[in-house]
Amino acid sequence: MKQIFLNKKGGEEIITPYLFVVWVIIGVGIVAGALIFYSSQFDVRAKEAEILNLRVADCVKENFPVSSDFDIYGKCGLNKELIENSEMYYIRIKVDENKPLRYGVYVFETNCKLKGKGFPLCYEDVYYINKNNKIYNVEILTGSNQIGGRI
Amino acid sequence: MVEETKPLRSNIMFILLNIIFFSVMLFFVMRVGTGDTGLEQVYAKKIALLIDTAKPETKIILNITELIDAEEKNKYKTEINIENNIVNVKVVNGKGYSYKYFSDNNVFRTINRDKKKLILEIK
Repeated sequence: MKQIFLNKKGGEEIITPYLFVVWVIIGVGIVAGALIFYSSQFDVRAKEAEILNLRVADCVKENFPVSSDFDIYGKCGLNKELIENSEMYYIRIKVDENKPLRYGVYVFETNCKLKGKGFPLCYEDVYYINKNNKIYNVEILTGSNQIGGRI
Repeated sequence: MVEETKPLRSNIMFILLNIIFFSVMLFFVMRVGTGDTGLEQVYAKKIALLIDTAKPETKIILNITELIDAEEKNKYKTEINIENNIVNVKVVNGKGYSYKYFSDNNVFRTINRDKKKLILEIK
């Protein structure tokens, strides 16, 4: 064993296979970092949820009071097929302590509270509607999980 | 003499390879940030959100200078298709980037290439 070490030649080899391994590691890091950074910058789900919320709030105000047979798609100009079947949107309208009206993917209500990639982003706001001298609390929660892509 | 120049050549090679590697990385990061992929995505999302925000009987004029300028560079005529609740923007030959909009209003689009504007009419 001692003999092996004694015969080993010392020197400064700069370009070794390890150098390429280090470059691969650095390269993967930079590529992953850039992709994560730019993809998060282009994420508009929170904004989309906010726009949906304001749109629903506007039409709830115009059609108040709303009941369980409220035609949200016709009255708010929303695409029923997309909201119901795309698995990308959620809308919840709660007036005072009444049973809430729900549309889209119900599980978003829970998933929106979770942090991490793949979970939807939501927007919640409370609106006050004055009708016949009575003020109603209208809570509207909307969520979006649209990623978009090359279809 | 040969033995003495070897470390020097090795050092020069090392520096050159480093410069090439980091130049490639820099080019990649810049391209991801400002390249065609980002451009398609940004405009598809921007147009979809504008449609979602707009009320019926609204006319929206969007500046698409970047998309029109990319035509000459890519030698490809930029396409903006809006149908079946999907906005698709194509700057290079391929599938382009698609983003859906939830609004049920009818959307008519016109591209004015001279003025580099996209005109959206929401009915």
